[in-house]
Amino acid sequence: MARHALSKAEASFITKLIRVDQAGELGADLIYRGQYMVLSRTKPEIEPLIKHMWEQEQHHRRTFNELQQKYRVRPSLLTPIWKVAATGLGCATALLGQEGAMACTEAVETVIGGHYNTQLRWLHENFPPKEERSKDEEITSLKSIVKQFRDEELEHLEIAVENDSHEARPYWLLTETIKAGCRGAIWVAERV
Amino acid sequence: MFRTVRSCAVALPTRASTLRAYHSINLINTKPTEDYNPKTKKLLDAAMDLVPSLGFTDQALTLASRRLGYTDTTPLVLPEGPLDLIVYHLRREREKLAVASETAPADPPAAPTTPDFRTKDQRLDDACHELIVQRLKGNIPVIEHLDNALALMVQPQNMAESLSELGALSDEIVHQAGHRSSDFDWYTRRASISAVYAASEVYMCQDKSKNFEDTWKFVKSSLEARRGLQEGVGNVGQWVSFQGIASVMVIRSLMTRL
Ligand SMILES: [Fe+2]
Ligand SMILES: [Fe+2]
Repeated sequence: MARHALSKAEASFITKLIRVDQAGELGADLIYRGQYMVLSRTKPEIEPLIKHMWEQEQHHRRTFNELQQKYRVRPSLLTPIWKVAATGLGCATALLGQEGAMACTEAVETVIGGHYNTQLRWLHENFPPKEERSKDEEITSLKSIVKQFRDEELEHLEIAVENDSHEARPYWLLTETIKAGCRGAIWVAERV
Repeated sequence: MFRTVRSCAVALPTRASTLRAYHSINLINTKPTEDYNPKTKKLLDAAMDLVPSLGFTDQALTLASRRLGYTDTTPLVLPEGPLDLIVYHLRREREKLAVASETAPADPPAAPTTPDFRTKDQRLDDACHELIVQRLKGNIPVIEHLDNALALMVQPQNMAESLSELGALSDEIVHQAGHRSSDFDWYTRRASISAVYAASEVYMCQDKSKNFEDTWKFVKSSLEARRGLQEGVGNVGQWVSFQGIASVMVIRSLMTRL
């Protein structure tokens, strides 16, 4: 499907979607890597759990890297900064212990899951299944990627809650700060 | 898509193999001249035929309009006149580069008889060299008027548009050369190629050598001079201090890409 099938606004939305999701999944990969580095030593019993989520994030990141390259979207200019911030966040929360790491996961996945949800809603509103152009392979594949990843982020959220994210102290301050940080990062990564 | 990625990892990103795998036209990307309305495009094409003799001028547009039987007010849809014609030239030549890649032979070239000792960066530079030369050859028909065109393009009020075209061209070159990046070097590669291209175009204006041999050599040595700087640069500040403030403007123009 050529772009003239899309309006300028639609093409621009999808471009931003790819850029921000790529930056987000880069962040997620590095957060879990930081957590894994710390927790595999301090808390070996939850290592498989972290590993499971980390591997899913690596798949998410690879997928969006491929989309970004395929559609020739520029990556976020602040990529070097996202890397430092995500690694730092992963290590720092894991140093607080299992509860800290899980609180971080809960906060991050709440925002990311919500963000994927917003994108999915936009895709469904602009490309309702009954419309001819929605049957295009590029559109259906984008929809199914966003849907699958949203489901997996929400699964991570559940895992975090089941593994005592609420026991973290100070829980409220920690999660709300991280959530605000993620929302800010999304806003910036869409634009820069 | 997965098949493509794997085949790139095995085979070197030779032009024919990578280029065919990625289409420059898809969900988001359009051809550079696709946004013109057909009548305007026809006028611009006809005017471009007159540029070798008349230059990038209003006369070229007016005469082309008359020849096509359009009214004399038709060129008014291009309020900038000469600049619109120059920008069209840039877009059309960039499109030729993209189209040439799509119609490149499907079969990968035969295995080289001598082993390839070039580093990854050298191979990338060689591919960029080939593409820059190919693009510069598109200036030969209008070479008499190229210096005027450049003078107009660098005027402050036209700078944003010129840089945005330069950024788009370097993106086309770097992408076609086979560079794939999701990281900061996405920007540094493009900015370097932009700088090399811009300098080479200026050089070409005054090149009196046979078949522009000197210009092609200039492209090569400029790429080599920059290769050393590309390696081991990890962040924005470091990179800017190497490349100078002009590169910041090129990066800004790359950001105007959707
Ligand atoms: Fe993810
Ligand atoms: Fe996740």
